[in-house]
Amino acid sequence: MKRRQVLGGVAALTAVGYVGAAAGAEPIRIGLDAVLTGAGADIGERIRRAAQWAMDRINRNGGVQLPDGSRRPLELVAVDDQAKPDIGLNAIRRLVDDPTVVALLGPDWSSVTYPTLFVGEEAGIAQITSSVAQRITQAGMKHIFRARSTDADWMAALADYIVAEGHQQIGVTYANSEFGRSGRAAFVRALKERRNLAPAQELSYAVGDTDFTAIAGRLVQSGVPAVCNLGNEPEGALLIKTLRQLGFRGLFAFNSADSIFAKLAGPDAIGVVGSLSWVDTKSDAASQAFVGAYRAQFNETPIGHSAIYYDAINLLADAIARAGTDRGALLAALKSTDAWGGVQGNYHPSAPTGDMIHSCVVIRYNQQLVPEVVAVRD
Amino acid sequence: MMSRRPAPRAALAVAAVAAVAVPPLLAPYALHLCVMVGIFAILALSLNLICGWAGMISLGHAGFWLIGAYTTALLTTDHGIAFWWALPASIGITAASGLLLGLPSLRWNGHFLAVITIAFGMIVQTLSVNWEWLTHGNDGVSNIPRPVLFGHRLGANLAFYYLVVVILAAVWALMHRFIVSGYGRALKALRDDEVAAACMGVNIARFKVTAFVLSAGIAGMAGSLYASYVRFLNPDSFGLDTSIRVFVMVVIGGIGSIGGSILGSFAVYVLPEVLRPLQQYYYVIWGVVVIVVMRFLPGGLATIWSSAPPGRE
Amino acid sequence: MLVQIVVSGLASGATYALIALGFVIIWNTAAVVNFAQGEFAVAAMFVALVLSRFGHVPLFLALPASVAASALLGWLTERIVIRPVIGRNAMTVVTVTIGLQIVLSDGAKLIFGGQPYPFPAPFSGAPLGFGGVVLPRQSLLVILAMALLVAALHAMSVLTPFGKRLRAVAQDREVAAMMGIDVNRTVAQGFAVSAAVAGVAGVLLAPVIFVSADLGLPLLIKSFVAAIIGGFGSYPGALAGGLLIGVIDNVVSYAVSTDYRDVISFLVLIVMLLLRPTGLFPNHR
Repeated sequence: MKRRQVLGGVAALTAVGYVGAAAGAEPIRIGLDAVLTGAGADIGERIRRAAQWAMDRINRNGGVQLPDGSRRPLELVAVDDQAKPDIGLNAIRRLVDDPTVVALLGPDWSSVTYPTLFVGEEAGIAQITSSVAQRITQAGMKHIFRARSTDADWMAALADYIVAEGHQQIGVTYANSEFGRSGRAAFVRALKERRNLAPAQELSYAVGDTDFTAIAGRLVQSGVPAVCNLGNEPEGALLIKTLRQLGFRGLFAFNSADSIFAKLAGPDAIGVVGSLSWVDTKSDAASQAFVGAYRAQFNETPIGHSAIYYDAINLLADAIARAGTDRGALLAALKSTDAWGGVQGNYHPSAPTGDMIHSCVVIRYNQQLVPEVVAVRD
Repeated sequence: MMSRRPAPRAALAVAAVAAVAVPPLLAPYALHLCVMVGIFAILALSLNLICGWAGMISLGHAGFWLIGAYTTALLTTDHGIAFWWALPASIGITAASGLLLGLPSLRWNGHFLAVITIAFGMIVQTLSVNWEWLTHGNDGVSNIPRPVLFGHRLGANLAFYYLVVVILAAVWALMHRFIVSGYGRALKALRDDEVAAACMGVNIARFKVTAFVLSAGIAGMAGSLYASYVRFLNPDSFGLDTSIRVFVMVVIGGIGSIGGSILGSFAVYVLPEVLRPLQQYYYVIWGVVVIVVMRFLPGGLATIWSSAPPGRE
Repeated sequence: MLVQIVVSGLASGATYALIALGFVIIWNTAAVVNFAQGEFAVAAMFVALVLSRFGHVPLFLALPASVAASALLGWLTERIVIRPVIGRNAMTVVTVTIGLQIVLSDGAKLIFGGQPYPFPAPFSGAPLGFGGVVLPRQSLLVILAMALLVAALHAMSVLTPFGKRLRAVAQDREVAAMMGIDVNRTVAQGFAVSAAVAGVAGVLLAPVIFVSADLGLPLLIKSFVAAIIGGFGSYPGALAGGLLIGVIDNVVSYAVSTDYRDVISFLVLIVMLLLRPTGLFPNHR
């Protein structure tokens, strides 16, 4: 079912027309707010690259055919929020104030997305985000869509896996940030609801910390056989390095155990378990087709955010082809789409909250530092 | 040292007329920038009171700004109190915290005071993250209402802009009176030579603490306006980088110049936005601009006037 | 475990101490509070990273080369940015160094992006164990290198003509000039030495944390505080201050909580300043 939808989607895009038909036509602009400078710019750059690439592929095939029969190319307008709410507010206001921008992508950081939600809501413009905090889709906003499973999905999968591995005593560490605290709350809830367990120990740290001896020391002293860490890649990598130095041999689970983390942690990442919305080692046909094309284009492996924003552009292109470029009509078209197949899996844009997708994977790094998929949730 | 002449009256009048007449013609985004410049100008003026006239350094003004902003945000959301009551509460509570920081200023000067103020700013920010029962921590405070005036909600940015302009003008007038008053002259004497000032019978302790309290109160007012304008707060916006940014506004504009602080906040807030099309280069260029301005206009942007040929007034 | 925490705090503190030392050298020779001091350390990290990772230069050559590059950056800073504004209002000069900090850190972001890079450790291998205390080799190296560098700086300051010129300028610029010392040249050299010391701290720190463009400002703040605790202008004070901050941070994180670490560390600072308003070593230059 899913595969057929994806292949259908690809076929539809190819059938959109011959190359060059849209050349010269006024482009349809889609705004993207991402972290393009400062810490986190690495992922922001990958986001921009994936969105731009998705557009290039559509434009090479003649752009999007609108309901009135005309063909127009897509154009990305990228703005930078530096991962700061006030800068993000400026950036998103600027996108919304441009009447030629038909829809918004981003932000990625929950701490930027949540406070800026009202800007998109007041403008009645569809917004597709990759932020994971629960409350983003629970604020009653009618314009927000999430193209990513959330920490509730991941933590349920992760808690199941850790407990299935035979661990009942679990230490929880988290970054004292919006992202870390949200992840911690989701994990503790999942442990409680699914296994009726409570963390054996809870410790927090600050974003930007560089010395993890104190936290690692307390974990090692308490003797917990498994640690679940919720936060960003650099701190996670430093924590596992310090834990291993102090002789910790137990299971280390981490909610950002992506390729950036693996690169930073090096050999210490072996055996680390993580939950991700999507990973390039996922074996289904849609994922592998995407990974192959992306590798051929950029000579590197796509990350989860690549799939999210690649899908988001294609989803928007699909809705624009049906509804045209009016913001309200586009939003309504998305809201009435019951199912759509993308790289990540099945999307349900008509879900009342805007949470379009729940698929995620649990991975474990093997001796070659390849993230092997050990569990899939759909 | 170049003698600083006040801005010519004609230029002031033109600026005032422009501040009132131009914004309705602006695009929404430009208007938004104007509101932010106004709020930052009030904040910069408050810092200028300490740096410019009392000769003390503060790198913790984001702390005062945070206290003022959170006071208004929490009172108007969690406690349903109207903005017009929350505003004076913000000023009062922030001024009280200024007393807290004014006392160490009696004992320390220069770099010691700089570090104490950095510490103050960081402590306030850390508490705003960790006192979740009070501040909602990293989640921040959302849905902060806009002020309601005579039954009309100042929801439109243009209306809010005029509120900011009125308050900015009031702060300008207040500071002008303060500077020409005995207080201001005493502060100046104190900046130039503390010992001589003491010999002249200036009560140094009283003046220093007064400067801190007044400055904090004005910063709290700016915070209150910021909270009700952006309608969302979280601790991220109030870090050391913000304190440094405001400090740069004051120095770039001109230490000890009221108009300079407004020019400075305009430059610091708008220039990076103007440079944005340069994409990732804009911050580096902005740093170069700061260095170049300080190199060629050591007294800040406000001294552009005094370098104008004579007879222009 | 507490010993472990303290030792690890000393290793972090040693890097703060070195940057603070450089900070104080500049303050003493030029009366400039240099907000770009942390960026000198970051610059050395990136030069070492480029040489070793992308240029495949062996570490024993890459590390000295990066310290030399940092020294050059310090010297250029004085010549191009600081000298034109020296002697002006202190706040103007501080703002210039803030401008420089923006240029350097955002310049690094421009070239390397915002992401962190792993950095190879000069000595690999399992950490050494001493009766239950685990010491990573890099932490030992940091502490050792700091001790050696401090000894070398002290010897330079006391024994060499350059050290004497530096001290003369620090004591009184005008008198030094009257004595025939080329003050400008000495100050430029002071900047170079200061940046080199920060550079050493940078390359020592690089394998312990990851190299990224936004490390400079946090390092600067820690070292500024260290210099203040030590009595601004005092070299032994800067060292003691740096080590103290490293240890306090770690002990508070371990014994109390990370959430309130900065609050508690700063309160300790304020209490110390109340007890000793002029710092730990006010009169040792």
